[in-house]
Amino acid sequence: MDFLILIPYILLGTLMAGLVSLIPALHIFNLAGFILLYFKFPQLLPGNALPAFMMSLVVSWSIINTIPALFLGAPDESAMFIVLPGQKYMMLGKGYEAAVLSGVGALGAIIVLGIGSPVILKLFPKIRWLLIPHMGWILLLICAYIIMGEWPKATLRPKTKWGRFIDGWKSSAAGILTFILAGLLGIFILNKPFIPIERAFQNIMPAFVGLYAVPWVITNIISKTEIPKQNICTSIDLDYKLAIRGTFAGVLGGSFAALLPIITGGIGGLIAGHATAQRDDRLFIISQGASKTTYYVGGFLLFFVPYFGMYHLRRGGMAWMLSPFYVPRTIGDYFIILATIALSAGFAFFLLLRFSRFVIKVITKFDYRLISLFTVVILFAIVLTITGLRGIFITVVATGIGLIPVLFHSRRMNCMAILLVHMTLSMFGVEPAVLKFFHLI
Amino acid sequence: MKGLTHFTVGAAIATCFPQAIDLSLTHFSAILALGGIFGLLPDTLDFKLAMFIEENDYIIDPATKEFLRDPMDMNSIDPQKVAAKVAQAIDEAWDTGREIRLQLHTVQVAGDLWRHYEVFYDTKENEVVVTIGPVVTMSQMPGEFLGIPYDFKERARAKTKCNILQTQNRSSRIDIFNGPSFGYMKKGEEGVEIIFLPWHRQWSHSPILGIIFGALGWIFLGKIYGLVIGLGFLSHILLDLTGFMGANLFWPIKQRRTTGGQFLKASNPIANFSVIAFSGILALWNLNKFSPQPTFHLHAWPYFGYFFLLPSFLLMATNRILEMKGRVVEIFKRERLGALGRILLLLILGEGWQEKIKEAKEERIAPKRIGKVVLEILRMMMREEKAEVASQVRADEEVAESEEEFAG
Repeated sequence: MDFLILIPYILLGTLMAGLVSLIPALHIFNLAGFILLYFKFPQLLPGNALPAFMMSLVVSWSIINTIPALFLGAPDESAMFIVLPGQKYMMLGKGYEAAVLSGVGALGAIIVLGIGSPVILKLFPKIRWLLIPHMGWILLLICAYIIMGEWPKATLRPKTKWGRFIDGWKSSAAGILTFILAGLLGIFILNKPFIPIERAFQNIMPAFVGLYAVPWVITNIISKTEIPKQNICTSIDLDYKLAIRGTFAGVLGGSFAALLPIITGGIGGLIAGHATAQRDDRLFIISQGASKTTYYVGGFLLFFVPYFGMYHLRRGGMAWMLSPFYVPRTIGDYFIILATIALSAGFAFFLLLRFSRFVIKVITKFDYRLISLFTVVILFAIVLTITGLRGIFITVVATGIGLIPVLFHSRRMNCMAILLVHMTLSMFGVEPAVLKFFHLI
Repeated sequence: MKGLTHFTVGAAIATCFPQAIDLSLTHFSAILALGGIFGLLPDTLDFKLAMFIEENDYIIDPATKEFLRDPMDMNSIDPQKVAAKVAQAIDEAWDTGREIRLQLHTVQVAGDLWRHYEVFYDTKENEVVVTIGPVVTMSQMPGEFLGIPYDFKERARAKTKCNILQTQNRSSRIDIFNGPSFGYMKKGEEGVEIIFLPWHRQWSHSPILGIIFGALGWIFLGKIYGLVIGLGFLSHILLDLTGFMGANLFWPIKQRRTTGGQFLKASNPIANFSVIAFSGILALWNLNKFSPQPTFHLHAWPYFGYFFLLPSFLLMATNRILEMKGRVVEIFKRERLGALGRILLLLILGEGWQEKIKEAKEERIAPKRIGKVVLEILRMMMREEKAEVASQVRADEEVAESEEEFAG
């Protein structure tokens, strides 16, 4: 198919996803699902343009969804690690620079994906098949790392050893508590859906909003944060070395998450953050931008690998949604999608800059607490619309859990237990016993 | 090395045992995860246990009356009093000949606000230098808080009776959560040596402890578990020995750390990234090789060559070339060497390679072949670096290394 015909759809998809990215809690999969369900797309989109359009949605979302995380403190799961350094940059009047840095990471990831496309084509499906039987211990390893890797934030002030130990372990204990509670919440909602059955595919969404987005926004309201004047810079303090290091660390974490089932973008971000191994915020933000894009785009790209005949690699929600409507058949489809990614990423980066400026203008014009309050309202309104009142209940419970790390200065990554614990137990074959214990079966 | 690196290495080592892979596939065993868990355990023991059981002879809490000018105002910290106390601890180590330990506390001035201060050991003047800084946020960002300007700085010095040995060239920064501790140890008649974080990498980083854990695993879970646990733990110590701070190899016989090989810093991003990547590639190789149905068929050399050596080389080369940017073109125009030779020299020697070649020629070590020139220069550089590292740099890197780890 002629790529030129696809260009308007790619640009449209990029723009639509860019606009959706600005609304906290609204995921691109919501928009994609809505389009596929309610639009008679053959009339609006030529059949072959659908995959390119969907890919442009994913690319644009993965690049621009940094904005609510950076400026509103309302991230989705894959962007959770960007909130802290983003807020730090914003308090220094450099919020725009943080957005650019994350965009640089995302573009770096797109370049690496392009260069590595033959590897993705040939090797990734094989690696994926190789690792699937090993998911149990890999997930256990991730759980262990999250718990073991959190160092206590002690003051070391108490005079006795025992006193120091208790003091030091407060934050660690809060982290472990968060891990356990999030894990339990995951077991409950994933095994006994609380929300109406027709919206069961959105089961986890209200919990994610409660765990990751609402707590930080509430903190912004309580702490009376005032945003200083933001500098819209024309150049950023960055050298090639940092950009390369951040990108590769991000691609490492993002590929891990994109390749393996169950592993989410947040875990990719965790690996990316730790792989950078340094306390340079620029490096960290770049790595997070790269990880997020690699996770979303790389994961969806696997769907277009013509490897197993009719059985395609469906990684992530978008691949599952698209699979009934489209089956990639030739290598040509794969390369058209690669071109789509390149075009969409370029346009999305441009939109990231424009939208960041717009959001900065808004948040500096109005009282930040008012904006945070408005964000909370939007978050709950979206949860209510998509999942109903029961979804709100899950969000409130998840917010309670998500507030523990914020209040006790423990790591927010413990919230990832919501998926990890359920899946690990399942992989080790012990979940039925756990479900029986909780009278869930 | 960073925690994630130790973790992945431990897990990769576990995959080297076909029985372990078989156990995990057929018996839902967590044995492969144990490699990673015990690979991280030494640091977990330190940062979750050892740091709390340390006893200190001196505790400096700058927000207490002893160190304040105005006892009612916790923002009136007198740097002179703090410096004098640190110097007193060093003097006591000198006078008594025993190791004195000192803990520096942080100063929390409000909910999420902390007072920043720095301690520096001036080895030239044998003085302790204390600088009180501004108020910082939890993100360690200075700001205008409580009427203290963001660029506030007040410095004081206190002389010690003895020489201060092997200390860092930079200050220890104290602000959020907890401050560092120091050990002061008399070293013959030379002076007093400063030991940064004396509780770190001691008993928890001892091979004996690794062997004990391995033996326990062997007894209670089986031979293969014991091997995975023991080797995972030992891999941590081995990796730490590549750095500056080292590990306590002879605990419980010796109570002092053995200095590391000083090849690289624990926080070195390239090293950490490479080790993590290599561990992942090795684990994939093992999982495929020992799988009942391998998904790819490649020999070891092409596999590791394509997926580790080649990308590593390309990454380093790109990094170096981009770093040099405009200078590359200039150098290529000026030099008469062949293109390949120039690129190689650039990659191996980095910036200033022409000067190094000139130096080598002046010393009449310049043979005709470019390969020999490179080798000679590399040898010369290594000799120089070794001499440098032996002095101040070692301690500086040691501090940087543990500060990076300390920050988690």
